[in-house]
Amino acid sequence: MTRPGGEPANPLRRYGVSLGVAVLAGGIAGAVAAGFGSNGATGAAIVAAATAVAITVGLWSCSVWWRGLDEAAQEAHKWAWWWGSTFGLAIGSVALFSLVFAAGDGLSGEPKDLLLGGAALVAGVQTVGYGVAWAVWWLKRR
Amino acid sequence: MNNRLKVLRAGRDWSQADLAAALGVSRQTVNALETGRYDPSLPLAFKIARVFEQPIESIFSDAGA
Repeated sequence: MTRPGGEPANPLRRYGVSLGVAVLAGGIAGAVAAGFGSNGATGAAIVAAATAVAITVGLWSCSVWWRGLDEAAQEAHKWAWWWGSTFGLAIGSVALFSLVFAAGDGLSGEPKDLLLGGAALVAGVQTVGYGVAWAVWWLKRR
Repeated sequence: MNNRLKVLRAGRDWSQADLAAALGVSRQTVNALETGRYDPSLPLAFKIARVFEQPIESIFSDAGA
């Protein structure tokens, strides 16, 4: 049997490393926010800097991972980004507004907690939508 | 778009993983190509043609033609 040469790179390993780097950067930024977030303007500047560094590292890690994907895998992610994230954003926004107005006076807490909670809700639903759309893309092409 | 990838691969006794390695794509991508549910870009189509040493038009055909 004639076998073509070359060993395919392990995409799961690359994905794991990329995800690990992003999670580590986010964790460090979170720890910085927890440690310095209450220190007034200086704390806010430190948190902003730490978050910017974490996001830069995360994006760099994602770009390395992205360049290693083949074209079909990239297409699946682009499709998932558009359809999954768009529907996720729509559903998450409806959920957020419904929750805010349904809760009425029952919604209490620190303003920053409420703000971050709302952002996390929408981002979480977007992520779920992305994952579902990505899985649908591949399932349709099995 | 229709293609003869599966026939050509079988003729060389290659697995999907073998062809994926030759093309630098994943096995899932080769499967999606073979089932006709994913159309390759022009660069990938040319690469496939080079791997099988055949012109593109003998591998891919327009389903609507």
